[in-house]
Amino acid sequence: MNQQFKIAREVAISADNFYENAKALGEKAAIALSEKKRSQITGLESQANSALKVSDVLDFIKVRTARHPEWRNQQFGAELLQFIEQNLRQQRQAICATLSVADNTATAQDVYLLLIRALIRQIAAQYEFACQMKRGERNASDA
Amino acid sequence: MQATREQIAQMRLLSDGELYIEAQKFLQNYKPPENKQLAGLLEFSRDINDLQSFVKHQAGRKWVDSPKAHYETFYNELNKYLQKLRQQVKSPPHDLVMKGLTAKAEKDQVDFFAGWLAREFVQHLVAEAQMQTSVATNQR
Repeated sequence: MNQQFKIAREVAISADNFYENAKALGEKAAIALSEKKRSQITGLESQANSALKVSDVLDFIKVRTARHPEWRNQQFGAELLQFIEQNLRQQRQAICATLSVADNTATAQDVYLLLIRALIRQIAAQYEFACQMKRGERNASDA
Repeated sequence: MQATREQIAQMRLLSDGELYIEAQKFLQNYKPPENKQLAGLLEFSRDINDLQSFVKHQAGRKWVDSPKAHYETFYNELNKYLQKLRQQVKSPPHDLVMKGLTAKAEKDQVDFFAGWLAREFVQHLVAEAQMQTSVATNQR
């Protein structure tokens, strides 16, 4: 199995393990941002997908948290930042140790970015789902 | 001038590691100025020489006896940090600048690499400072 495939497999396993955390963050995003601020989530997704450095994503979250009160609502921005900086960093270290990838290398950086992308993808999916459920509830109570 | 793929990879690692941590440490030690000043820093960070002139100019202003007195320390320390970056790109472990260049060519390379790293540092510094300020304002 080549290295890229091994990394993708380890990242997918990690992503399954943090699914519940991502779900909670997605629920929180739906409350904090509401469906009116969908562009904030799509912006976060595209930033994560195009970032070449982990700090590009971290800085993006900080700036959004500073400029948009919705990101401070429910501590959404702060908790997302903390999860990436602490939990995902540990996951990256574990994957790198498993695959004998040295820390402070471009490969380790890529592993971190892949984990972030997986997390944000899960958050965005849960956000959409939660917004849709709320809309359904509203429609049912209006009928 | 253009950086090689290896140099770009090295700078990205430096940005995510050293510079990101140092920007956070910097803010633990020195209180940042207001958001308008931070926006100015970001704007000038596109060019290392403009950035250093701006920082030196701001450090030299009369902030004493005003609520902005801490700006002087912030800018003085930032100036020192930028000077340190210029040295670091020429020496181990970074060693981004080639050896044996003419003075002019060496300055161009120092401007290029130190400029790239300074922009990254300022980006981390401003993002962290803006978030800290908004969270603190929210809590009041």
